[in-house]
Amino acid sequence: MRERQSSTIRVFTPRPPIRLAASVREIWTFRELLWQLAGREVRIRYKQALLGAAWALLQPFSLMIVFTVFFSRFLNVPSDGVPYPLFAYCALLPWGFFSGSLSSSITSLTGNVHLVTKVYFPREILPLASILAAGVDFGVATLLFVGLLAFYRVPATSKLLFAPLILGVQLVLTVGLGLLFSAVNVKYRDVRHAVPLLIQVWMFATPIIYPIGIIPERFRSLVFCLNPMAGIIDSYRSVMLRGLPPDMQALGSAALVSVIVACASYVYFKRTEPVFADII
Amino acid sequence: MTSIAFEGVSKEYPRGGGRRSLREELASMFRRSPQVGQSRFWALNDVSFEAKRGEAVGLIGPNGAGKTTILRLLAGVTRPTRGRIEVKGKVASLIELGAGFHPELTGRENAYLNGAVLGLTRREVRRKLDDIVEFAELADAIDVPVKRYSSGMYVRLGFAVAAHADADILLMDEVLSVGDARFQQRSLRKMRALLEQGVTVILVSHNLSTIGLFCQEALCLNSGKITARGDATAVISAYVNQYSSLEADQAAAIPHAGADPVAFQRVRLFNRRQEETHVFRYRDDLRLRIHYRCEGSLPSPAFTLTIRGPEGRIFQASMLLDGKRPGLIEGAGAIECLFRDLPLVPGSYHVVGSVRGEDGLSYTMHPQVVARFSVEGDPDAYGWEDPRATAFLPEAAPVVIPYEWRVVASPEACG
Repeated sequence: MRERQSSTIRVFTPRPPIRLAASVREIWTFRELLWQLAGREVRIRYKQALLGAAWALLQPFSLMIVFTVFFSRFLNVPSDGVPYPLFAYCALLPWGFFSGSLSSSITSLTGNVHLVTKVYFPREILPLASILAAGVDFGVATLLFVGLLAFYRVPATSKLLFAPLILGVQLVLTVGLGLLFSAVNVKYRDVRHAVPLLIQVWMFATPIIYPIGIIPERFRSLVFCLNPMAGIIDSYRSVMLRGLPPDMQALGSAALVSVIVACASYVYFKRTEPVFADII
Repeated sequence: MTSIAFEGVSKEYPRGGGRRSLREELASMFRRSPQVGQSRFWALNDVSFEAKRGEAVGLIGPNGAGKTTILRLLAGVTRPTRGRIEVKGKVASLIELGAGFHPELTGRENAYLNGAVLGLTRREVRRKLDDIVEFAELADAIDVPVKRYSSGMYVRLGFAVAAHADADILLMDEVLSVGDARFQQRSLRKMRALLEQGVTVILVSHNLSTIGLFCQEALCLNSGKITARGDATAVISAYVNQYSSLEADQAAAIPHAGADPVAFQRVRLFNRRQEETHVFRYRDDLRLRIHYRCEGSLPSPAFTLTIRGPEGRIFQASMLLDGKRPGLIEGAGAIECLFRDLPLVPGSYHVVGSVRGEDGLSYTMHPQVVARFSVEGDPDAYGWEDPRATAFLPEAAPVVIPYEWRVVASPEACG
């Protein structure tokens, strides 16, 4: 007999209780799988692509060029006195991370049927791995942003320290929606078609091409409540480009809405998780 | 020490997958009456059992009895509808080929991924990788994408990773039948070694002899219920007696399953003197010549011919076991099988034939009765000297092999 007998006892019942702390602990024990799945996604994405990681740059960069030409040159969209390419890229960069995470997490469960139906692991790992993989693209694209900041000689201020906080809020929202969409897509495959449309509409409803300032003052707090990404994007611009602290009303309501969305999504995910393997 | 406990476990599945489109869901919301359509079925019904540490338990039963559902519940892949399952320790499962492999990644990358699924860290996999590669005999192919692997290579890698995962419980579903005979031997040896180290093994197989050889205990399932449990040999013989006659009837009822790519067009029987006949003597030879027709081409099919009597299976020739598969078959062809020294008692018998594909799992011709013959002979030929022997014949076991009685002088002599 071996000495090494792991003593963990797993109990499977029809309706397992939802315990966030226990889930997080379990995800931590499976962290190796999280890294590997994310690594796999990144590797597969670039393995058969000629330009490889350059795609991560090309996506926001080409949008930046197109927006600059059409919205800034032709339509004279204001950019708060910041050079428009920088103004657009500062929003396109986090937006790309957000939309990329969502569109790849939608199919994270349904695209891994062979794993979901055959082996056990916390299912959250799959959408989380997709978000992590999108984070790699985000990292690569950030290098270009640093280059742009240097090119336009934007001074680095202490307000940059707010950036991780804003990113944190964005991550809460991203993880929440990623869990929600991936789980809903197991049951209703319509989501795969609906979400790309939603993302497109959402992008134009978010101050990416235009500054928040063109929205009339009295609607602004409503926008911040309805669209947490508006507050998040505006906060990035404040700390990165304007050297100002984020508008606390904007970031605060974004954080609150994000936490609510994340909690509700998590509960939905855990409630449907027991039947994933049966209906996928 | 208990390793696995099932307490009153039931599992209900929706028929037809249970997934609905949003449109159907919305439509049903506006319908007044509660929906009737969704029919459900119970894959398991109030199943309770326990397995102790270091025990090998075999699961047997006809298709759809709930064997795989038990494995999936144990693996944590799906949840019970009722009841409670307790699993102590780490579970490594090999349910179907190469569970969790990604075709684009190489064998090595998949070994790391598979290891992570089984809860191993990168470092642990790296330390074990040499053993895994050696066991799987994939030294030359480990850096090749697994989409280029044969099914045998798939299952070898999958088994090797699972067997080296330091699991406390190992779940095996029919996978071993895919590898070649030598690999099956080695994996059974490996599983035996793991058992001795205290690993609990749950084995599902249609190959009853594997279960009989390997497991001390067996559970027999039918329609989601446990119909027999206990000593593996006893459970297996109960199962064989219960189902073999039933299966023979079913087989007889399907003269030709239409969709099968292989069909036996004609089966001819010859005796030892090369005469075509349907009547054989005790210890005669039985040579079957099968003229088959195959739609398209099939790589290395496995033919099985089973001789059955009124009580069920008696003996068989199976390429699943002997590995004497023909290479590629195409169009029409013939194949012969010779059974020497028929040990059968007088009576009528039938031959059930089937063909499985290269993977050894899926049927390319479903089991069906392909020939009938009878055995006739004097009681003398069998050495039956009792004048009433013929009267007791209906009770006789179907096979007679040479035996001797000896009257021992006194009870003490037994010792």
